[in-house]
Amino acid sequence: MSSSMDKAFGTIRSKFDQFEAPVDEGLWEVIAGEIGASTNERSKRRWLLWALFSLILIAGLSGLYLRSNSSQEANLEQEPNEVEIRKGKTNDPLDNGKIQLEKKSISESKSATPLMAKDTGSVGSEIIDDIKSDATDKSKRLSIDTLKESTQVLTADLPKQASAIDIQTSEVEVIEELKERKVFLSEDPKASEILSQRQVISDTSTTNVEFKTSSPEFVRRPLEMLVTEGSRKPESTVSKIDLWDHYLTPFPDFQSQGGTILKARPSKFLLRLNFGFQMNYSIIRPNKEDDILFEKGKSDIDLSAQRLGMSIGYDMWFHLDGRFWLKNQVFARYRRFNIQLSYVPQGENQFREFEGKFNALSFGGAIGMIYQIDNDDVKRRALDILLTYENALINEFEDNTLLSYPTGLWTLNLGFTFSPRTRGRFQWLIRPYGYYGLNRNFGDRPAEITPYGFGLQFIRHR
Amino acid sequence: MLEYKDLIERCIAGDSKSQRELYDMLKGRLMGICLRYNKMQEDANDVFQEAMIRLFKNIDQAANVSNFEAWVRRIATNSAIDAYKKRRSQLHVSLDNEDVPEFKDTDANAFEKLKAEEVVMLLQQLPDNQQIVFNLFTIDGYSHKEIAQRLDIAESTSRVLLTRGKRNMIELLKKTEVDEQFYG
Repeated sequence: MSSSMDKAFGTIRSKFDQFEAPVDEGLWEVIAGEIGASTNERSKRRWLLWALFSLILIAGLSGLYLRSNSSQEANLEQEPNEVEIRKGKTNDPLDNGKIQLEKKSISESKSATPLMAKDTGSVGSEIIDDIKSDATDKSKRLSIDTLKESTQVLTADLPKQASAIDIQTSEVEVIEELKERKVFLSEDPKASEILSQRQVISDTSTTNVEFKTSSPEFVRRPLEMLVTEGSRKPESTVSKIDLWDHYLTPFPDFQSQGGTILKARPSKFLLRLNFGFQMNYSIIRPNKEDDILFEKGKSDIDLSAQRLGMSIGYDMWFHLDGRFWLKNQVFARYRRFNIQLSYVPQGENQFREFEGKFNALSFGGAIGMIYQIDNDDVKRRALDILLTYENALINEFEDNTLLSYPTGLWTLNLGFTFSPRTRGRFQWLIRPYGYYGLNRNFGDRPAEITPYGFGLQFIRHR
Repeated sequence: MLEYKDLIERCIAGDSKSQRELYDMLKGRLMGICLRYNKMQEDANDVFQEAMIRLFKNIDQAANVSNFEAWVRRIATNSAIDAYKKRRSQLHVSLDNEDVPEFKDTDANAFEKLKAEEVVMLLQQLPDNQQIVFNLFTIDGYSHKEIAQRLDIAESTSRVLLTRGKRNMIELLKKTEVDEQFYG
């Protein structure tokens, strides 16, 4: 072989000593599938499956929860969750598998005798025992005939998410709550007795002592109670307070000057369905490495359905401290972008018009904080800030050669939650919010899209 | 080899992250080889995938090789040869006497000016059989005997294909030079 030949071969060979060619990223997925390695795509798929599974699980559990509450509410409306001691009337036990309050009756014939009650339920027995001991005290004997109107003994709430079994097992806690109960006594001149540790509104016309165990956590109807401004004010001054039993609990402690206390413990966990609508916009960020000039097109603010997005999911609120709550969210979100712009392609001198509509469907989750501005019944307002991550199942920007949109989108969300009605049974809270995309440098195309927008979310209240 | 040793051991243990790491280290060079042996990017991708799968499935053998990079190159070359053998039709090579072209100093200088990517483009313009023999002989250092064995052809056929490949490369090189002079 001639030296020229050797030299030429040597030259060619040397060219390829360290020669590397670009590789399509998608090739790894195939290879990894063959060799059994995990890939980003697989991880994403696995993550999405988990998200979907979680969503279904949460939906199922919350469905059960809501159904349980509905049936309980129905029971409550028909058979108040209370131990009633009625004149000549026998109550049925609460047959809801929860607090087994055996109904007690004291017959009219026994009205002149100390209150006698037979109970099988532990909570009921506690109450009855207390009454019995008080009533048997001659100095405090209370004739049923002297009792006029019902007395409500409100208990502190039970753990919110307690299931039927949970509630049963927390019976001991209920008993403790009952021990702390305070009974208001309206200043009725005919009222005759004040029992130790509790005050009973009494009158002469009826004999109805009503111990109502109510928990805002699983009693769905608005919890209304009588609160006296002072311990000895007439009933006319009694005001009604619609507790935030399903809103931003903890509701405050209400303490009258007379030492009467109504105390409700905060919920530790709330689960709520939400859905919303939003308007989507985008900021076009040209890549500095590409010598392409972009000009804003006709995409001024327009509120057409071309920019509309929708979302549905679940809120999970955990009480932290005072007015602060931890908020988690899982959701599915659909976005639609209408993009119009002008650009000068590389190596050309003229603008080209670009117009396109793109859809993106994603699953995601959010974590953040809620600050409860008001916690009374007059106003219901709260601010929240959320960091959201969502993974696109459908990303129509993927096929576009000009624009890139993140498959894994991070957004910052700011929201303000309020209830349009402070009383009654309005079902939904409203949350206007804004969001802003946080991703940067996520594509290798001439321009990247940073999405932003605003929307209105509806959160199921009860 | 030392730089790969730990990585290879982790790959043998089935660690996915290490497999990805090794892949990232080798992919560029492996794809470079695949492109030299194929005309189309899609074909090169197929060969690349096949080579990588072979590499990872036989990664336990890599622990015993003295030159890991040479072992990887051989896997890629073998994959390219297998792909070529699959797609080739009956190989008919005329063994008529031909003038054997020789590279001159000027040709060597001309190659010097070209980038590797441009040489790949020239190689991709050769007929399939010339391309593979030129690659094997000139760049990967196979002998005609080895080429004949691998491609199931006669040694004389390998020589003829190399001769024609060289001639075509020189012509393509000259054409490139003319184009450069003409278009600047």
